Amino acid sequence: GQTQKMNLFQSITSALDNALAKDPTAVIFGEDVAFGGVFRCTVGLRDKYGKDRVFNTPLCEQGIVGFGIGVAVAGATAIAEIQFADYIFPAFDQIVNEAAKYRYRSGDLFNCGNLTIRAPWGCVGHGALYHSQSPEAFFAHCPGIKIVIPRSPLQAKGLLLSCIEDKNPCIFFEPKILYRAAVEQVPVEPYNIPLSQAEVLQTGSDVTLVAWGTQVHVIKEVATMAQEKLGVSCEVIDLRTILPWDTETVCKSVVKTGRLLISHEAPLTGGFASEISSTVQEECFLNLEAPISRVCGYDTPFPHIFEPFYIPDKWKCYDALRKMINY
Amino acid sequence: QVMVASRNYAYFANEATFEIKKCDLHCLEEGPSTTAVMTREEGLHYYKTMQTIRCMELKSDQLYKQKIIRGFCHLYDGQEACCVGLEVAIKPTDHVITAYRAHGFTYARGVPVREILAELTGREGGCVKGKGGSMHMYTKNFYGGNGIVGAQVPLGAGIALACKYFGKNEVCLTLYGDGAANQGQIFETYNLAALWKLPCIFICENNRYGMGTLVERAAASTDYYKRGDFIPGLRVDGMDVLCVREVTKFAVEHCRAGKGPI
Repeated sequence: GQTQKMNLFQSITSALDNALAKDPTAVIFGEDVAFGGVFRCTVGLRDKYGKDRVFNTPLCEQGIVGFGIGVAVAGATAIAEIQFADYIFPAFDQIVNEAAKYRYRSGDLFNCGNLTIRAPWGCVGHGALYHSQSPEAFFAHCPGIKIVIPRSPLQAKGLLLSCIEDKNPCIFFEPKILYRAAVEQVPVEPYNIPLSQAEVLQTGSDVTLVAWGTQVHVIKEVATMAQEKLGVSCEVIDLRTILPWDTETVCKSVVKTGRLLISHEAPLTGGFASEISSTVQEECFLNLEAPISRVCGYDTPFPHIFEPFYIPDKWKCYDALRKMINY
Repeated sequence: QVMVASRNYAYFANEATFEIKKCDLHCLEEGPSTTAVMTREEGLHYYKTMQTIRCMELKSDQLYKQKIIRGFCHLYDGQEACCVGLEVAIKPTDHVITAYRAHGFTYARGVPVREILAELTGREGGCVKGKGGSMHMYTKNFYGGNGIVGAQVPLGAGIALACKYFGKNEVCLTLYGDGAANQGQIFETYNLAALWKLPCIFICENNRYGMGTLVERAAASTDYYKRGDFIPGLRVDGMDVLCVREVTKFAVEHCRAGKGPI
């Protein structure tokens, strides 16, 4: 259908606009969302849909999510915004102990599937300790919720609409560095991208590269570098949904290539790459030509001044890839 | 050579008495007196400190816009009377913890301007070796500088507990903003502090906006001094350094006398 040039935050606004138009019970709430949000994701929505559907909350993440769960259980579609993923921790108990377990513990009598939590995620160049975190690994350990991370405006709109319509509580992390930087032609009408399906962006035969969010663009560049400098053909996969993740696509790829490199900004120990690595070695042990490589952030708090040294940039990934090829 | 004309026709008094606003009280029979005495030295000291903070903050603002300071930069210009009034009413051995609008406190607690600016620009000479930036500045008996809203308040109660435990008659000033006043952990802290009679002075710096939201739209009760419920409270004019000083002295006496939090 008709498309429009949109950046990431505009594609989010478009998705939310579609959601509120289609679903009369949908409400958006969070800190400062009324005027448009600190990243402008909700601009214009309050004027269009009214102040009883798009409203501010006080500064209380635990309250926001708890309230959201209640709204969802009562039957309305709740879209909660946590201002930065770094602030989601006061709500951790509500998400893990309440939202994730609601359907299970009530024997499907009740559920909060109508809940979607959105939060800006990942490094941004100057975020330092509390405006750069990628907490997906904490939540991946919790059965009962879904975690989705888009890499671009086109992906974001489709994935967000799928999260909102999904019958399970979802956490949607938005790479904040891409809010303005990523621009694409995005359809104005609603569309869905299925959850729990990874996307193969580029097929290859020698190495599988897996990432999500901003890091996908880094590994795409690494794939080009590997082709030019080493003549190595890489298969690039965007995982898209972290929980439940598409084991089939990744394993099928590793069976073909024999080598896997996973990269994320979050710290190495306990990061989601460790889960992928573990499952892949179980499923594809005899196909592996080299140990699975993880290129991640260091095991330290996200630094202020040292960010350029901390993030897993293309050189670190390229270096790890080279070591794998030469194993 | 510049000749400075001396003002030998001016009359210098050694001290002066000022009327200060009466504070609204909650669960208190009486508050601090409505007059404050200030000596010449004190006056000059307060003025110099506040003016230094003002200049430092305005300069930081410029540097931030020039992108020499990166990351975040929450400025204290306009609120100087709070940190100066508080600092002069306590001893260097007392403790202070606040949220991220901390440059004024960092200076008042003894960190030189050079180290603050070095910290803001991420240099090694900063008070935290450039690792913390604007929101995470620390020094002796000053526990920051905390990014997560409200997270510093339970910490402050913990410090107060240590003060009580070590028996050195010290108190802890635990500051937070009007936005943080709606966080759950603040109320958990009020309960703990009152239950265990901790020498903790809770101070809400109300600048009327929590991030971008006006207080009336965020708080069911904007009488922040009453929200400790069972904890006595006072509403103070934060723009008057003498008012802040007198109330802080009053609060410190309250805590040192073992009457619990305020």
